[in-house]
Amino acid sequence: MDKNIILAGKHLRKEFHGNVVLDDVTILCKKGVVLALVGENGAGKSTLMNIISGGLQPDGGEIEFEGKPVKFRNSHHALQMGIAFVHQEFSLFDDLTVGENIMLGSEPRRSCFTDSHALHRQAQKVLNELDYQIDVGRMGGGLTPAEQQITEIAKAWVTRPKVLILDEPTSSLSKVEVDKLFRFIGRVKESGVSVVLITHRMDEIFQVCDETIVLKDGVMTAVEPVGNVTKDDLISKMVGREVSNTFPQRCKSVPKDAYFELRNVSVGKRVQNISLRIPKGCVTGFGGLEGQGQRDLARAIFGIEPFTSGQVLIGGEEKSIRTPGAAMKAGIGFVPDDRKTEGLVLPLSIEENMSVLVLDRIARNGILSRKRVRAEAQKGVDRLRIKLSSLKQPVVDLSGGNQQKVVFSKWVTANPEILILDEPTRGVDVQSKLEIYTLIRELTSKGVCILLFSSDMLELIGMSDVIHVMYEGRISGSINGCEATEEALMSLSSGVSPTVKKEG
Amino acid sequence: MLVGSVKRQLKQAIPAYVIWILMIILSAVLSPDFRSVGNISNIILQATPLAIVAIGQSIILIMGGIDMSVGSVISFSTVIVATASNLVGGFGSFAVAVLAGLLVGIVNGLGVVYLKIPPLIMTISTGAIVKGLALLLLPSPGGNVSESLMSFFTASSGCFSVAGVFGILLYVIVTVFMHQTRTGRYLYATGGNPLHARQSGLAYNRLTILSYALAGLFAALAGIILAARSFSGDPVIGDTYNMDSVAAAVVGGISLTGGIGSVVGAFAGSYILAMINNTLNMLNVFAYYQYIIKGLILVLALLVFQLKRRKKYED
Amino acid sequence: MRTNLKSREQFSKLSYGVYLLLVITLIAFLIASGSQGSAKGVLNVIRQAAPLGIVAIGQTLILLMGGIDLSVGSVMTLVNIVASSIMAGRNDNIGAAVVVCLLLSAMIGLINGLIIAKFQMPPFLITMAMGSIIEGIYFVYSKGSPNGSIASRFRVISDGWIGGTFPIAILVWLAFWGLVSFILYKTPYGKRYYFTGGNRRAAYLSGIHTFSLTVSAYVLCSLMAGIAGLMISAFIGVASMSVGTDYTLNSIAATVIGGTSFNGGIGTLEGTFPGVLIMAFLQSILTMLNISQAGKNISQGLIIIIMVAMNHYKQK
Repeated sequence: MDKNIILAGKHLRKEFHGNVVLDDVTILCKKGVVLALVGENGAGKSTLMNIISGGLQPDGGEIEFEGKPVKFRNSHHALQMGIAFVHQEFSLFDDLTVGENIMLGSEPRRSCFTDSHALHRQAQKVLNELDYQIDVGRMGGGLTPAEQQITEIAKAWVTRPKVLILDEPTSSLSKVEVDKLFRFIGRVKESGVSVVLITHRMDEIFQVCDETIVLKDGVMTAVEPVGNVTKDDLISKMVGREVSNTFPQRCKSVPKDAYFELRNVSVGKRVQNISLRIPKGCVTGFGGLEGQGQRDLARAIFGIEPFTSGQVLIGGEEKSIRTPGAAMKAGIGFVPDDRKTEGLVLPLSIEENMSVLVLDRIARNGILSRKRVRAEAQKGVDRLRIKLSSLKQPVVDLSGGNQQKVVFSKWVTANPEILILDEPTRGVDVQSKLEIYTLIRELTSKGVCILLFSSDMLELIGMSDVIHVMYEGRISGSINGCEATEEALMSLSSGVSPTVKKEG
Repeated sequence: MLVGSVKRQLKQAIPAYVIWILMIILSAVLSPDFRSVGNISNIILQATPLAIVAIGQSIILIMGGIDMSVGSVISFSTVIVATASNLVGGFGSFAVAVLAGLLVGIVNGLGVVYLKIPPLIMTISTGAIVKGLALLLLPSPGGNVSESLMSFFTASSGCFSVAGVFGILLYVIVTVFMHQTRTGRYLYATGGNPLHARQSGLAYNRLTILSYALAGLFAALAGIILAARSFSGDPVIGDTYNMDSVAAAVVGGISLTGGIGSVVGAFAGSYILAMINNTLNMLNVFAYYQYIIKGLILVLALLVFQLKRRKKYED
Repeated sequence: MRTNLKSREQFSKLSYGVYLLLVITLIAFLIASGSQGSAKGVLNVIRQAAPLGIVAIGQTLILLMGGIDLSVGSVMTLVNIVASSIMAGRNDNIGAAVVVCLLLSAMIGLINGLIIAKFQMPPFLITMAMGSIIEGIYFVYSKGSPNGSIASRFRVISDGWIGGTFPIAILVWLAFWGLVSFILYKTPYGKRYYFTGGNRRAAYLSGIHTFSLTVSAYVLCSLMAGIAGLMISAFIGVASMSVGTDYTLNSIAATVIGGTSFNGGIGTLEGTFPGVLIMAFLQSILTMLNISQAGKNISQGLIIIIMVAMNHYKQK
């Protein structure tokens, strides 16, 4: 066997609730090689990395570490063997210092006490290796996203791993910081460590990586040395899913007069001076890389964390929307991205969840009848063909796709004029997706104004009449739905000045 | 000198010490009786059991839990000391009481960790059970506390009794433990963010059980000192300590949401509460006003300290 | 789909379990009372359970909504002392006493609710502190030795028997139980307890005014405690300093026996009903065995731990 291979995942397979998310994927992490792992959202990159770092158990295939087959009990076990995974979500402690966060688990000790001076000195040394200046005495809670990212990397590096996995480490870093990080990766590589870099940004691959693996819908579509591929090759291997069959026909005519209008709205610094005029009866898409303010915009419109400045007009009338209740009164609905914590009351039944928004309407003289609640719920179930054994079944028992349909259906029952969809098909199977898409079209044909926030570019392109791409809290460009391509969206997403025609 | 998060945690205790010192100055100026050796040793005598049980409560709060069984453990411990002395001698009864406290704490920890019972409910329930056991053992106040145990803890010179010094010693040990050992830091981390603690591979279960065991231990010690002070066991004497220990910790700047504050603050918190009691007694205020005042202090402290903290994390 | 059906079965099994437990305690009670055991004896125990039954209704509402109220026992004692002193044994004063007591309890609930909802404070500490404050108030009010007594006509609600065969107290209990059940299951307001308790965030995002719901829940719970306080006053006829003490934990125990979860959103009033009866029979058995106070405490604690652990296990 190749002595240079430190960690190998062979023919890995993983399913979630019957959905295959990884199928026969083989990944080889070699000494002194930087491997780029690319693919769209939901292509299975994170799942693959979690499997080779012990966070998930594969349903098929095997993992070899330094030539011997291993089974990681958990990510901590993998870390002890020398596989460090820096997740995209940070796990720092607000109330510990940067130094204590970095050295957590490997604190230097003098007899049985921790040696705080040595601890912070050692942490400083690790940060110096990264060539990054953060005061190690600062608290984790006060760090900027960039500083958190660097601290996380330092926390992983202090364990002196043999394999270092970085999940989109550059998304919150500035240009200068990215260059520093890449120089660090170069040095790490020299010392014989294997690095895996998950990234969305094409340029980065050619800057630091030696090999690439491309994933598409859980399947490997390419494994190449970087020298052998071009940017266009990679993109074509990442994308290129069949678009036409998945999405229902879009309607032909799009009305022009604005029904819903945002004038110079901001949410702190996360959403800055956005102005939009949105007509009735069409799907307005919002895209961009994760964390560019889309989520804040969606939540501000629904009054969860209201706009800090600017005006909101509905049907020409200015509205003050400071709570979800007020938003609902103004005719706005909101399907949240996290159905379990925000969309559903899990222990309650389907009929109860389905009727929560319309209790007052169902009640006669203030009294509810089971029959009417059930009839209303049944309508919702039929609308989206939700698979269930009984309306009294708790929603916690439903599959992800069916749960999402319940959330969706519950909002449709409330007859909103404007419906905000935040990642409406995340973790949903293909069949349910199609049904949700069909329902969205039905709603627009009835004149409902749909705001679609999605990180799935195909979904945006397939569904939207107009797509606004957000970058650092602003709209970096807008494209007409039928002219949009993934390439165009990608370049807008990364803040590159658009060469695409602006929507008029 | 101090490096790291310990500085910030200790800072949380400053308001409590400022209030405490102001109270001392004010009382000393206003009331000549306050300055008497007798009164000061009386305050220390009153504050010490509360201060000791507040150590355990603080550890639990910092770790992100709560212990509502400490009151019953105190009662139980006084009852054990008052009934077991004849059988196993003074220091034998001391050991039995300590073991009983540890055991209750471990049961609490096991229930929270393995039966997944919310800490509040688990400890309220074990509290009821332990109180029942205390009532079975000694239905009404009385019993015999061993002479040796009593004279050991109540021996004093000037204002300071052995019990008072013992309390301060415990504070020193636990403060060092919480701020200068790995386990202490992990307790802070667990309370600050249990999810991240699990992700970082900290031994969540063991830390939880450990902290409840410590709370049981300190409650038992507080009970022993109470028994030594009052020469008897009392199956309901601890009832008020559940709330008082939380109040002392909160006044001392420890957050109910976990991960913030220092046991050092609970020391000042305990003395503040004891001095308020003392002042009310000296002013001849009707004893029952104490219930009202204690309740108001807890609500007020919660509002002042918890709200201030929430604001800090916004933006 | 099979697993779904299974979990439904488990939910229903749980309520059968409660009735099974009830039958067992009833039999144990009959055995313990030996030759004195009779239908009238059983009715008598149920009659005495009415105050617990009513306060447990309030506690169930609060737990369903995702809170907890540790001040109910103190509210009951306060009402007992205030009612005795206002009535002073005279039938003319009944109206005034009832109005004052109910207003007092509603006000306490309002303060609890406002502090908890407005400042997002932990409910158990606020209600515990409130309990201590109320205790202080009634101690101060009565100067440590309460006086007065309950008017004879008012005592009928607890002591009266219709035609000498059926206790009025049980009817009062059933009436409140029916009324609150109706509100909980048949009005949009009641339904919102389940949403708020089951997932406060999702409820808020569904336009539910969780703030006013929380406040009203604490008011309602305190009111129930006040009514229970009046019932217990009618029972004992005099003022007593510790009459409510056991009711805080007992109401929680009765509620969890009935399958209500501490995490909110799960539970029913039908479950609480047998829960109350179980606690009542258990306590009279313990009283007969002469280990009343210690036994009461131990049984409260054990029952809560076992039931919560079992509910958790079943829901998994």
